[in-house]
Amino acid sequence: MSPLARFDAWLLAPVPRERLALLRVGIGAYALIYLLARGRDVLAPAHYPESAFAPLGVVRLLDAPLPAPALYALYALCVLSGALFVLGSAYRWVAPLFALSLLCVLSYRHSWGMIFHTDNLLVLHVALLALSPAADVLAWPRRPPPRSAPGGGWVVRALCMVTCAAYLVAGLAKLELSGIGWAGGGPLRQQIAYDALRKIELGSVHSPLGPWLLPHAWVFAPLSMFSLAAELLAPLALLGGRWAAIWCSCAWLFHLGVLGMMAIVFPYPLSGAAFLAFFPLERWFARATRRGSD
Amino acid sequence: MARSEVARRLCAYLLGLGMPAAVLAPLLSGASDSFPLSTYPMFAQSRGELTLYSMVALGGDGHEERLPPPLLGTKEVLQAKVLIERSVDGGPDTMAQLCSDAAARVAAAPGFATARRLAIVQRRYDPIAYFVESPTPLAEQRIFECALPARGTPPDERR
Repeated sequence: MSPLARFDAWLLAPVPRERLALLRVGIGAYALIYLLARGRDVLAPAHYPESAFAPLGVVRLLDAPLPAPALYALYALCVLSGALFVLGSAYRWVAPLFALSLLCVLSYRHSWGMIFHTDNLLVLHVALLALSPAADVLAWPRRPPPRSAPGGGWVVRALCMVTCAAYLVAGLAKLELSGIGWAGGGPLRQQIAYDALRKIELGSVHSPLGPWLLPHAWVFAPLSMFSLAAELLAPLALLGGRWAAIWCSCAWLFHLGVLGMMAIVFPYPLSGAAFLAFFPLERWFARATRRGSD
Repeated sequence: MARSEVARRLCAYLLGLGMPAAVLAPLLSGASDSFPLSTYPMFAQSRGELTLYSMVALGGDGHEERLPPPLLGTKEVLQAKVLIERSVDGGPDTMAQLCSDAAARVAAAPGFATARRLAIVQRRYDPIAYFVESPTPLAEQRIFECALPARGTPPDERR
């Protein structure tokens, strides 16, 4: 089989409908909970001074900040469509609406001088799911599954590729901006000191662990090598199986380290939701439901 | 191959490869950081000295107290930092605007009873030395000051 034919077979290999549906429920539920939990922050720009407006992405279409009622309405639309997305109701119409409104709401939140990089993957994942037949099963109201063969395998592969690509970009950015010297630990040590000092001086929450380790310079070389390897080797996860499990564990540990060292929370990967597409969720679901019925 | 199958494959290739390619694109295009496509610059650059701007309330006895973000017009620490940096970058007029807006909020807020003036302060640090040696800044400078307003009168300014 030629490499192209093998790639074609890999990209288009079908997955059970349940896997896509569980990805919809898992990632959609995360997005919905995140929107509700961060509602105050998402709506805070309604009271920001216009001078702080720095539009990004789709928000560049705006010449001026949205009036507060428009932001509240957009947020309400996003939450409502998010709830229906999770339920799988009227999916063909609701899912693109949720993906678009989530993109707008989060882009608007980032358009005030500070980009929170934890939201990038979430928006891309929801957009891919919105384009897929992810509500053929496990949807409300219940309906019989279509008779055609399941065809959303490429979406699962794309979710994995997007995740790996994001980590790869982060790793390559380090090499581009700091060179291979980044792995030596110096830049990471500087970054941790910089971040903690900034937070202390600005009156924000900082982690005591990072500053405590700063006098021990040798610690930062292995930490840097681990972080860089976790990012640059992300494409190995596309091999699936153990490779995927090992990489997802390393990426999760990397975020745990960032939380411990710098008190920076990346809730999407830390919750595990960002890595769901790498795993056979339908098998776990079947096992859990079997256990539940026993 | 049926037409529907061709369409399905085309869609799978366009979106399935297009989206990851879009995520990788900022690397090649040299685009600046954006959302949702990012260059993921966080933690990537070597950091040198850190220059921080803060807005402080000055008491009659010279005592300094940092203003919390809500008095600068935001709820978030990092956005407060960006607001002050932007006003410094914008020059005296934008610093005056930020200072007078904050002064109006301080005058209306409980606390800061002994404050007489507000100042934008620039401090330069060596981040590693801050933790390993001493937490004192390498340099410190007040770059803008304004008085707290009496009710109904605009604050005066001094550079």
